[in-house]
Amino acid sequence: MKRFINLFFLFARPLQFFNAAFTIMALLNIYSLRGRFFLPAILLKLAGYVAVAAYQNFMDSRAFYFFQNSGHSVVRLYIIAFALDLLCFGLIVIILNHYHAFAHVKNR
Amino acid sequence: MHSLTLKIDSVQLEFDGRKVLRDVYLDCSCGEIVGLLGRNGCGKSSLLKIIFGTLTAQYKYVAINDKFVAKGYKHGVAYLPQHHFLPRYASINQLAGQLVDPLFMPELAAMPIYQQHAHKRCEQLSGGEQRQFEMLMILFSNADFVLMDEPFTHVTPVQSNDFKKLMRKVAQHKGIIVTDHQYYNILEVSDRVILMNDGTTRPIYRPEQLVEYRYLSGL
Repeated sequence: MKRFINLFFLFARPLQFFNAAFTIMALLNIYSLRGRFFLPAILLKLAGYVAVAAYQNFMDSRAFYFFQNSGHSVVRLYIIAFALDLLCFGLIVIILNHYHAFAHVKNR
Repeated sequence: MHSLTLKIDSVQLEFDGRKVLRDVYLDCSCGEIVGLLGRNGCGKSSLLKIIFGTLTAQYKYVAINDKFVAKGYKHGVAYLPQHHFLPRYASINQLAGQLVDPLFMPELAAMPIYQQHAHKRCEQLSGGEQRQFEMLMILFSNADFVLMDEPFTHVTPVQSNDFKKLMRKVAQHKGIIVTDHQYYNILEVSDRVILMNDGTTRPIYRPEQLVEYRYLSGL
């Protein structure tokens, strides 16, 4: 299990920057919509995943052989990486909402 | 130890209507090195990718001990592609920790090249050094079968000799299928040689047959 976790972090390392960038864009989107509509932000995140996967497939697909040689499917690693990122994004939104980060626009 | 046999049969592959592979039969048992020769574009790399599970054939039968295997990499098959495949941003010791069998790790760690470069990221190494680490990691992986696509192409003759010795040693426990255009290295290191010709596989019993099949112009 420890080996898989280390492998997963190796796989996810180049994805982090792009996922963080799309997370910030999605949060700004929620902010601009006064914290009421989440669907466009979620769609933005999903579009981010497609863009990141397409970019990696085009630019760095050779490294996929490393992960396959470790016995793991690249698709499975992508699904885990994106699911965890989406979970983190959801938690950030819940926490920000809870602490009224969007309150000033909600109460307007 | 129970010996494993990798069997590949009836592989059919088409690109744009052109039949690249048809009626391919190949087998490899743990303890032997099978050399695969063939001209450019005859489908050697495609066949290895089909076995590994990263290329979809129109039809294939790949099995380990008669148990069908859809994707080789999930069932103890490792593949050394022609190109570099180690992630550039990771260090050699991180990558070796993932790919190398813990049983082989002391042997790898004792090698001068590992001691010299273990802490470096792949992008800091030369192409030849990367290739050596790729070969070492694949040979020392926990896979039962190793597919090697042009392993001798980017290494010096001295290093080729060292790797041939290492392949012989590793092949005591694993099955290795190796292909390269440096046919003399393949003939030297292999227990059996298979020639791919017109999309089919032909066993080679004598080097003269390579001339008869027009793979070589002369010996």
